[in-house]
Amino acid sequence: MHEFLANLWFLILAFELGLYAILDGMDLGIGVWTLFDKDENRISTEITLIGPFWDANETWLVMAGGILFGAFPAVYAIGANALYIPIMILIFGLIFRAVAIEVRDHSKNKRLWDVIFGLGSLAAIFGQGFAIGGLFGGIKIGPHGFAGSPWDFLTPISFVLSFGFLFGYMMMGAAYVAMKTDGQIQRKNYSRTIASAILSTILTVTALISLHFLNLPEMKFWFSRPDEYILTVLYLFATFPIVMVILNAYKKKNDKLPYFWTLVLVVDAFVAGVVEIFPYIVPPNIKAVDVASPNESLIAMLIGIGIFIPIIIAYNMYIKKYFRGKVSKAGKYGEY
Amino acid sequence: MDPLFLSRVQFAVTTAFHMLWPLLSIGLSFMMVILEIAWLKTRNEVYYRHERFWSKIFILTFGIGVASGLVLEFEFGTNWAGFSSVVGGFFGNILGFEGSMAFALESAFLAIFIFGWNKVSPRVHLVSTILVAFGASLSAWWIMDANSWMQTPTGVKIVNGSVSSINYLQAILNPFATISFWHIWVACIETTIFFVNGISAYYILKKQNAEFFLKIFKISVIIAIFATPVQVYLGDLSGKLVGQYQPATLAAIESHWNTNSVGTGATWHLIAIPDRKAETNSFIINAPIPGLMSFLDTGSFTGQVKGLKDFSAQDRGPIILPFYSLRLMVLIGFIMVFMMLWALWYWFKGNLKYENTSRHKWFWRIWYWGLPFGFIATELGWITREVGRQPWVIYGIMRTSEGISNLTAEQVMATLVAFILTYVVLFVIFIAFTRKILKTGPDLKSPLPDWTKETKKNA
Repeated sequence: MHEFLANLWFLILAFELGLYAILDGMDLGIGVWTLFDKDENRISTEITLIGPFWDANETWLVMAGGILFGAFPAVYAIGANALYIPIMILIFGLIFRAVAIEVRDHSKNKRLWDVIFGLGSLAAIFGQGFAIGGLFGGIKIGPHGFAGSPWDFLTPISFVLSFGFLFGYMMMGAAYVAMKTDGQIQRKNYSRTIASAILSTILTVTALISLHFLNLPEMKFWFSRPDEYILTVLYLFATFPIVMVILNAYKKKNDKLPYFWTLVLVVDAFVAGVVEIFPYIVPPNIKAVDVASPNESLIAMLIGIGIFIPIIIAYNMYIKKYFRGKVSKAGKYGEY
Repeated sequence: MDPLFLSRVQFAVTTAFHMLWPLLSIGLSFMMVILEIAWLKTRNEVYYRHERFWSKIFILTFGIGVASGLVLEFEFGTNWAGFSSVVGGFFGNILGFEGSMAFALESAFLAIFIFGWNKVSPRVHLVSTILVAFGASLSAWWIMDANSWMQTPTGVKIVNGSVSSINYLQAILNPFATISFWHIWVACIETTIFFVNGISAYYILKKQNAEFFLKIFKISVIIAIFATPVQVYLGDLSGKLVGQYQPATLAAIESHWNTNSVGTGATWHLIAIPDRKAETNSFIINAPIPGLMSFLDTGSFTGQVKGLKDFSAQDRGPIILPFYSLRLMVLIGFIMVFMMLWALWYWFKGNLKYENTSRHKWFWRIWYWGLPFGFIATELGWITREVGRQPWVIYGIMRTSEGISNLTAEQVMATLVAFILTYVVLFVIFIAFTRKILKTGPDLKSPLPDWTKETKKNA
């Protein structure tokens, strides 16, 4: 029972994080692309697209934090302690992103807020990459909790993951903008989708090869377990959606397909990540069940959080229904 | 400086700053509900114009609130790993409940509230506005609940450094929870009406849209009739609860050293300078009413109030900070009651009529200065509550020093400085853009939502 509940919460946590990566990842990706834009109208359109949803999307991160804290308190505590620096980078990034979105419209100096918006998004992505990378790279634990140095998160894996997050989010962002716009801005974003898809591929291939040859001690965990076969299948499968993303963005016939295939790709990569560590929550030797809260706590969370997840998804979909269709001209913030 | 001290300062700075925004956004969301219902019921355009005007400030407030609130959720782990790993099994649940039940609801329906005026029916929009307000208030409930549990930790059993069993009913409905929630919720309402009226008074003084703002001023005064006295009552109840469950805290708040002997009352100090070494006050000014402290803290003029000497020196928290912050908060709370009464009196005398607004400059000036009163009083109350709990992070169970993460001083110093700088910038930005919104003034011309035209055609 306890093991079942612990693993269930591990998977719910993974699901929440995955949803966050898909929803807010796209917002952050759009944010990074604005750094390459000079045209104010184009940036306005892009911000108009994410305006109604960025805070609802951020909710999934807040909930994931609450779940980790409630279901796996020791992991939350030791993890946040060890990953102090990446988490702070993430937090400051999100603060500035949020403020830039809210303030830009009232400001005369739009350029300044564009840059803050873009850099905030970029910082948030690297914060996430370094945090997950730091966790995957292993955390030194002593008798009184975290026993490593604050810079332990800086490993080759965390750089690979950070750039992976960056390119993946940029791909989702560009494909989403292409789906929701038309004309010149849509064409631009088709090219951006292709560019980020190619960058992701190059990164993944070089990373897999070099990590294999570097033979880092923390990598033994990844290459020595039976689910290596599942992983190989998932990695090989990833080539299919990536080809489809590039192909559809190139053909420009159906504007929904590139975004659809980026989602398939991201889900595939995410599942691969979860398979890699499950049932371990802090690799290489702490299992979810070893550090889970008592059963009554996990059950209370099913009632107080678990059953709300489908409800939240349902009302978010209901709300999105009102925001269907394309954003053609750059409206003011407040007019979708 | 050690990481413990720096982490405490950082948590204090980040909480104190974050609190400003929900105070206003919870109150404003409640105001929006009232305005929208009034508009739909009476079809008087002025309510709609008001809702749109204040919602601009609400959106800005909400944005900064979200951004600064996210910090706190992670800060429990980054800076207080000792605390988090021990109580996460309960405390983390409550934060999770806040996310799933409240914050998710509020931030999702915000999309319709802000962007949906021309997309949805008036009914759907009203429901969205209500859900935003409900989500915001529910959020306050869970956060105050978690904090109240740190004050009066009932229902949770801790064995070997982690939660072993939980009685949820006892833990969620811990002794402080209900009163503390209502105290902060009414504080949100009170803060907001004084904020709104401060701005209204500013416009009236400037003779700009005076009639328009007089409307909201009167609505706020009506709300204040209930909010300001209720808050005094809730404050009194909270004080008595502190005496009952945290006697050492109460003694520190009152700078009270010697327990009053049976049959005599304890004297309330208006001003005190405590001397920790000599275990006495080196200077005091007392309230002229004998036994007032006993009366305020127990309800009887001869009630026993335990003195600081009854507690070992290591269990005594700071005195000066909670002593003065409580007194200042109470003072502001009463000033707010008197301002409400003053406004009522002026209303009955007919001084709040539009043609009379150019007179009574002092009345409007004082209401203008009252703009930050709610914020200041709430911050002072929060200082009393949190500093008063020291040296405990969980009262009677875990000392603050045991809750700390394994951090270096440089690490915390760097983020503390970054937070202070960022928050100063955010505060300045908020002031600057709110001033801009105020300079532009309310938009009284742009078309009403599309559906109003259709109903007119049909009629």
